[in-house]
Amino acid sequence: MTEPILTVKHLRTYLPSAQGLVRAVDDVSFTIARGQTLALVGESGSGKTITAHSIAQLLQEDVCYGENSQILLGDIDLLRLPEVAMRQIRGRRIGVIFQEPMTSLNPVFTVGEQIIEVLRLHTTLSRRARNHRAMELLHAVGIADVKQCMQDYPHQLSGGMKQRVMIAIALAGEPDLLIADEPTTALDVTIQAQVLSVLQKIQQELSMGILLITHDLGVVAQVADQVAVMYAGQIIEYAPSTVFFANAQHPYSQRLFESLPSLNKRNYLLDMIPGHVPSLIDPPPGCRFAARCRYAWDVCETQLPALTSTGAQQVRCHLYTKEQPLTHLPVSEKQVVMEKVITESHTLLSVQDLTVHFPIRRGLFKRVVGLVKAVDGVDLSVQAGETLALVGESGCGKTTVAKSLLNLVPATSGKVVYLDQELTHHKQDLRKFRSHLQIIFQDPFASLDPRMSVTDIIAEGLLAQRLVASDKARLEIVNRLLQQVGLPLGSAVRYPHQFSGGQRQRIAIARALAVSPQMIICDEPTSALDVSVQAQIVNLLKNLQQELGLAYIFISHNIAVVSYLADRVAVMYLGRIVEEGRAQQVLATPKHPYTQGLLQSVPEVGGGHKILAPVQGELPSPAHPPKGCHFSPRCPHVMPICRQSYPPKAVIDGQMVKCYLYIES
Amino acid sequence: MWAYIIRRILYAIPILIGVNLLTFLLFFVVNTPQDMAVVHLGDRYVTQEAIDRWIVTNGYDKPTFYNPKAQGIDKISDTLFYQQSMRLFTFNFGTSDTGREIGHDISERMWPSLALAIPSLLLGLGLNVMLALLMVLFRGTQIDTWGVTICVALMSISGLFFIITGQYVLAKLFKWVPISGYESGLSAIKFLALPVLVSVIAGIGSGVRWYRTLFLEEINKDYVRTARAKGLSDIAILFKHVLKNALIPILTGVVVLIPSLFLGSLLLESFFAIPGLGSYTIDAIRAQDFAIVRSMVFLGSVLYILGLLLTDISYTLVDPRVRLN
Repeated sequence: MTEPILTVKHLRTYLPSAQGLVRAVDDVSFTIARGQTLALVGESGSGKTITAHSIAQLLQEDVCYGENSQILLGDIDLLRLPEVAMRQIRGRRIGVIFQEPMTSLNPVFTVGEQIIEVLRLHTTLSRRARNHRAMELLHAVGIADVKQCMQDYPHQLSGGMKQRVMIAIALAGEPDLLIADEPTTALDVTIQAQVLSVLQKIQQELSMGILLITHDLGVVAQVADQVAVMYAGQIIEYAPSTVFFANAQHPYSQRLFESLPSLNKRNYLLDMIPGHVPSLIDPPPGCRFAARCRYAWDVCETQLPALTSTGAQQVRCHLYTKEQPLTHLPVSEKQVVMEKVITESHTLLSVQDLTVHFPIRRGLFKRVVGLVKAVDGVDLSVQAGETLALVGESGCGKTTVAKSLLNLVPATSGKVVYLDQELTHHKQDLRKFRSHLQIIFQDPFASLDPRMSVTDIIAEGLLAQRLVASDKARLEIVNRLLQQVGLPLGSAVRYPHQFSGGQRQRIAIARALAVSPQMIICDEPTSALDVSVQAQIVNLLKNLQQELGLAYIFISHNIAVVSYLADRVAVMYLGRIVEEGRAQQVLATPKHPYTQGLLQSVPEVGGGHKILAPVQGELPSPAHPPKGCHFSPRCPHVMPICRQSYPPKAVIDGQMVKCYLYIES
Repeated sequence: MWAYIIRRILYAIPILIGVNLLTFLLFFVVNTPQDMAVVHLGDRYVTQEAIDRWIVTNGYDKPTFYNPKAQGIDKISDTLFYQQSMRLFTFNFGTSDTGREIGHDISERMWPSLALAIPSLLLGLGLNVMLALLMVLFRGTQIDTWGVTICVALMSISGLFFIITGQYVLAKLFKWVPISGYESGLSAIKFLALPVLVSVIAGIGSGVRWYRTLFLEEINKDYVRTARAKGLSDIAILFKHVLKNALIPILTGVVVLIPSLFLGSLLLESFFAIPGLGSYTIDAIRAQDFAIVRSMVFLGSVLYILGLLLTDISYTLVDPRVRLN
């Protein structure tokens, strides 16, 4: 190993709060060498972002650090550096990329100015040289029209472009260390793959050390050399990436892997970690995971295990200390079989040629000068009791489809037929269908009314539908639903802010279930949640389907969840479905080049150390779709005919696909 | 962008017509010429003949909207609405009930008003922004805490207190400035110093607190963290990144006031005997001069609409997100 660029020793970061001192980071040590990537993995609240911000000294001033804590960049101890000197380090020797590219750029300065600002601060380049260098940087992060981009304001760029600009800003000072805090979490998988490969290319050129903070084990497998897993402010496992993925030793790491959904776990319930992360204001004296651990015994409750070396990796667990009572750790418990049986099968919902167009208005009199074809001719059908997944990148129109099915957005044309009743253009009697069709939204923090108690939220649908007359009967239903979605009984009188993200999503599910629907549209229900919480919600959805015979339209960009839950998959691209078929088939043998690229872009835990970015470019604007096949500008197999007309449907092995590759000329 | 501005101007036209109509209804239909005459002449010993005579002399005896007795275009134009209200669109305000030309009065009296209002606005804006930035720079410290406390104290004190104390201390005790009065030209400065000072101090409490909130809101945004990660100093972040973002709401909040500056301050002008439009309005109200009050109400509405129009335009100038969409 080459010389370490960053050495963190016994880092303790305590943050004052109204309830007391939060021990957000509690004795964390690691090193990063030049040209190496260390991934700091953990769920929200584990302290990984606070660790990163401690290194860059970006925390508020009332933070306290441990007495023997050290953060050595080369041989400078950053914790003992005055703020004035630290400013010479930030941006120059440490570059930082943040999670939210949408808000991390200043909206009122041009992209060029935001990069040049760093050069002005940290280099002695002349004005012209700075300009030139900024353009070089934009070119290096893969921006095509560099001159235009220099003059653009952030709001004119897509999310992926913004994150590229963030990288260019972070690289402007040619740092030795790059801290990337969830750099691709807000991006689509195809764009994520592009951004990760840009990062990797630049890392090799500059031989930077990278501290990558992420919750996505797939991304870790692709890019990390070393992995440190954080739990409740501590590193609980620290290992070379290959060793970690071959043989994770800490019970928490193992359970993280087990709670990941995948195709081959379809017939089982996902493993769930019971309980929750302990409070960091008053952490338990023993192992912090003990209360949730399936192996814990008395010593785990009382004595904090030290980080113990077990060959190539270090683990903070009593199973690996000297008093080890078990020679071999059981890999996993018996899995709960959950094979899906669809007893009856009739078409519940069928959608024919659905379009949703939004007018673009311009000029003095706001004339309609064009149409954003958000949904442009979608056919779907859903059988009772099945799960249809709608997948695609953001902006492909999948959420608009969901909303127009429920008439939350009016359809421009097309037919939505629910059990032989047409729903479109029947606004008056739509209300009674609201009890048949329900929806769960993406963000459980924003979709529940903060001023309504849980009872009121759940019972509101019953009231609106006038389904249950008496208050007492309604309360009984609410209590039954709370039990059904796994919330404690006392929840009924509490308010949404008193619950965690996963619990809130359970409330949202209970609300949807209240009116006894036959079908629920789930719009990215787990994308705001941690992996272990995601497992709980996914299991709940699966159980409820079995119990109540529900049909789901499951909208997601998370292929792993889709492969675990879906019976059929429809892939959307720019307002149209380009491929549809049985989930196992579509995901195992994708036909459409877009589906193939999308699936290859998904970083897989077992995928090893390579980044594939098979889909280049970005989703075109639905206001000006490319001529011919919409995917043709990004397609590796493009033929002349693809640029002339949109391919018709073809059916290959029971899979519907719209691509000229499968049409005999 | 031009399409946007032209559209905004076009939107203002129906609003102006509406304002004109409402003002007319208020002053001629709700409050009839009969009422005006009674108020003006006193209702004790006045005869109906005197009232009728007053109405005729002031030209208030025409039909309201439509004159069936007149010929051709006069059916519309020889009416109360046309003669009293349509001319307001050309800023022809007619004569007051005492026979003075209102337009002439306004053009003369707006200058003292502006001489008081413009320095008050600029000095107040500058001082408030500086104090707010200072408090944000020292956020969480004693300076910030005491600053907020003083702001709340200043807000709780009535403006009248500042006027009377200022006049007593600076004018009566120290004799630095005259108590009240006005002269045109450069000597106006000594008469304006005290009212400007009072106006600035009376505005500090709410102004600083409002700007401080705006700055604090900006300083917790993600782009500030990015700026810190670049290695910029706190002062550079505050004055470059935060100020430029916070200036958008500040500027637009100020721009909406600019046209209304012409109207002057009712309170300050009366107390300091400054012959501006504020005291003009007060005097007209006191003298029950409806022609003047009506003109000022209409002028106020027009200037406010103009302010809103300027606000929309200034948004497009300072915010690239509006300008480029």
